[in-house]
Order: sequence, then structure tokens, then C-alpha cells
Amino acid sequence: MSERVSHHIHGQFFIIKINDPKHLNSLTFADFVSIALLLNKANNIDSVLFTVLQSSGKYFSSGGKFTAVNELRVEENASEVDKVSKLVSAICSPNIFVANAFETHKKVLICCLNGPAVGLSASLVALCDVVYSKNDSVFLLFPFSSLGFVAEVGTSVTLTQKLGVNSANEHLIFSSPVLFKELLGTMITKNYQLTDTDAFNKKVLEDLKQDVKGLYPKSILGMKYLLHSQMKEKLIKSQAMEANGTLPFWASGEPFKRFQQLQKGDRRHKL
Amino acid sequence: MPGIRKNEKIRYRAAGPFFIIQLVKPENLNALEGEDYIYLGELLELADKDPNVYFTVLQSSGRFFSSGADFKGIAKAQGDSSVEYASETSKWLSNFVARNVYVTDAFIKHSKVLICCLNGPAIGMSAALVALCDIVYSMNDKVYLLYPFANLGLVTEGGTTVSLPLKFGINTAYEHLMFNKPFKYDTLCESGFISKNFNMPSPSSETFNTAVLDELRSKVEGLYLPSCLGMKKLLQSNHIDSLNKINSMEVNESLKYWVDGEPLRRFSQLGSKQRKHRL
Repeated sequence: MSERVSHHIHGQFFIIKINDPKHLNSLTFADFVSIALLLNKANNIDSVLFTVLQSSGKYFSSGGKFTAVNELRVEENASEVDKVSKLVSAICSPNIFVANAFETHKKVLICCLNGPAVGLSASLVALCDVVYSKNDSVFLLFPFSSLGFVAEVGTSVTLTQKLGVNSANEHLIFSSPVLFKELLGTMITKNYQLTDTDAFNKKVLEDLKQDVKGLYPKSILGMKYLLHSQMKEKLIKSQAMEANGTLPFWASGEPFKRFQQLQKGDRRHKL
Repeated sequence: MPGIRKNEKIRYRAAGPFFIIQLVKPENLNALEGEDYIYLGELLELADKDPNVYFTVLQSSGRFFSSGADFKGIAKAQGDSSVEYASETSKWLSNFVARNVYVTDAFIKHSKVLICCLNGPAIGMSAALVALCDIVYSMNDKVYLLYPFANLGLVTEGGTTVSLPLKFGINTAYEHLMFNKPFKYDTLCESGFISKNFNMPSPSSETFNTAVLDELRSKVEGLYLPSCLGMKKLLQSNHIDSLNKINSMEVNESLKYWVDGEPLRRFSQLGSKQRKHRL
């Protein structure tokens, strides 16, 4: 499916791995769709209780590849219909298909946050039920306002829910990073304080196996169903609002300008 | 105030604006049977009807606040051949669903301020009721709350599907529920769940209980008590709808698990020490 995204099943754990540390695990839109398809696959395996997102190297993922975004650019003389059609299909895929895969997932979503995550990738971290951090250098960045568009992939709901109203407002409106200090206790439930990502990934899985020993699998899935029922409707509603909310911004061309600046080095993420 | 029948494990008394409910079977870690939870619900109704009551104070005794459901009671329900049920569904509707939905509802809609004096650990349904209280004071840092649903073949009950994410954050709730981990004192403090720790060594639950009531008396001096109730009503309105909805979802979901039989197997393992609560 994708050269950067792989998976394997280990008993009750469906493990999805991002493996392109040289490029800070940046992902194409197709990679995000691959992750979503893997989530759907895990959903249909009865013996799976936990879907675990793991990564490699220094970064969890630096977000969508600049090149992937630039591919969406339409020519100046393209018709209005062509322009909108191209954007709708490109922007809908992460916002609707990918967000939906996470938002309708029946298994417990666990994220092994080995490092910083940016943009769409950070949005996926925010959709996970449990997040463990490798060490205190991790952070999440949602630079939507800096890049010329708006909240995507559920962040208008998840950040408010998990960081609190005022904090979500601050971070989304000003594109400011959410540092470890703030993530601990809100999104991160355990910090491993390790330096090696492979060792971290391995230790988390060992601990999880110990933690679930003797517990009743159906109870875990039953509790996920009940706990998730609380936010599910809000999240699904946000898919339409976010996708349609972000579309005019992409149509205006501003995000492309800014991604190009990022690629050239003329613009940097505020960290 | 007209009273209700007596219960040997639970005492109640009115003292000015305070309706005090106390669990008084410390030798049994204040474990409660189905009928006891119903009794708690009835006591809350009694307090609700009394215009002189503004605060309903839950207190306990000994080492534990309450170790939750009494296994012997559950075994009794299973072995009880005096009542004939048409089906397993029918049996567990009576022996579990009705009781849980009733007592959870009593706590959710209670109009007086619910204060919990947490003298020690609380487990299961008892811990769920602690989480539905408006204000919690702890005796010392040895207290914890354990929701062992995953270990007992059950799912979230007593409104915990809503109360735990609400009071501790959703990710923390997932971590503790999915992996059967106790909410220890540090977590209870950081989240603001405990408003004050009285820092008294165990076993001094009586001293603690008296100290809390003394402090409450001085706290309410000069306050217009009807304002406290008006405030409670407004604050309660933030979550009462989601709590009511989840109460129904929880008991109906749980019913399947009881009918399936796993909770009974695991409760009896707990009783025979083949299974332990993980602490």
C-alpha cells in the first residue's frame, strides 16, 4: 500500500508503523489514506483490541509533505469547476475519510509518541485514546493559521476536549506549539523518558501486554463503545464543518503560497 | 423528618443543614449488596425531600470508604432458587440493572450538595458514586479509586463513562479503565478532584469525619444556603443530560455481560482469591 506505512498483528495488538525517519516521517495524502485503510482493517479483526500507532527516529511525523501539497496546485487558467473538483477530492480525503476511520474505530487507539508531530499527523495523535511519550522533548504543532487554512481532522473538537477551551483557542488561533508540559496529564498519560525510539516502541508493547493480562477482552471493547459514544457525534459533525470550512482557504491559493515558502525556507514553523 | 427502615450497614442522621449518611461496617470494608445501594438511593430521596437539608454528606468508617459490591451478595443472587426468573435476562434485570439505574439516577438528580468524606479507598460501584459527588475531601494520601470493570467482565457503570472523562480528562480515563489501574492520590489531586486533604493518619476516620463536619459548619456560616442550592442546580445542568443518557446506555450494555456469565465467574474467583484486584 505505502512504502512509509507498514503494519503487523501481534495477538490483541494491531501495530501500524511509520518508517521514513530520514524525512522526519512526513507523509503524502496517500500515506494518510493508507493509515485509515489499516484502521478499517483492524476494525474488522475480532481478536484485535488495540490499534497501536508507532513511528521511527526523532520525529513522530512532521506532517504532510510539502511536495504532496504542491501537487494539488491548479493552473492559473483552470476552470472554476476543475479547481474546486480537484481541491474537494484532495481535501476531503484527509478530513472525511481519514478522520472518519479514526472517529468510527472500535478498538482502543494507542499512540507511541516518539517525538514531535505536526499538522495532520498531530491531528491523528489528538484522535488517539491513549498517548505515551518517549521523553519530554515531544510536542504537537497545529500550524493551520500560519499556513493559511483552518482546523482539520477533528482538531476543532479534540483539542478543545483534551486541552480545554482556552488552551485550544490559544494554540489553534496563534499556531503555537503544545509542549510536553501541557500534554502531560491531558493527552499523555505516561512518559517513558527514553532516548531510543525502537527501545521505546518495544517497551510500550511489553508494558501493554502485561497490563492486559487477565482482563476481559469484551469489557475493553464494551467500554470503548460507551466512552466513545460521548464524542462520536461531535466528531462526525466536525468532518463536514472542517472540510467545508477549509475548502475556500485552499481555493484562495494562500496555503500553496505558504507551503512553497516553507519548502524554500522562506517561512519557518514558529517553535 | 419521617424516617425509613433501618439498615445495619448504613446509618443516617440530620444535623442542621447537613444530612449525614455513614457506612458503618468497617470489618467488611463497607462492601455493599444490591439492597444496600437501593437503600442509599432511598436515603438520597429522603434528603432531597427535606427542606431543612442543604448538604448530603457521605461518610464511612475504618480503613476503606467502600470496597464495592459484596461478592457474597452476588453469589447469593446466583444461588437463590426461591425466586424464579423466566430467563437470565430477566434475572439480571432485577438483580443488577434496576438497582444500578436507580441509585445512579438518585445521585445524578440529587438537588442538595453532595459531599464525600473519602476516608480510604473506594472500588467499583461505590467509587462510581464518589465520582458523582459534587465535592470530595480526603483523609490522607492513601486514598484511591479503582474501577475494575475490565478485570470483572463488566463495563463502565454508575455514570463513570461520563464522570471520569469529565473529572480526569478523557485520555486519563481510558488509561485507567482499559488497564484496570487505580486513580491514586496524586492523580486525584492534580485533577482537582479532591478539594482538600485533611492529612490525618489512618485509622482515624471518626476524627476525620468530625473534622470535616466542623469545617463545613464554619464554611457555611454567613452563606445564604438557598443560593448554594440554586448554584448546584445551574452547575448540575451542564452535565445532567449526558449523565442521564449514559445511565441508560450503561445498564443496557452491562446487562449483556451479566447474561453472558463472565462477571459471575470472575466475582467468584475474586471471592475464592483466585483473582485479585490489581493495586
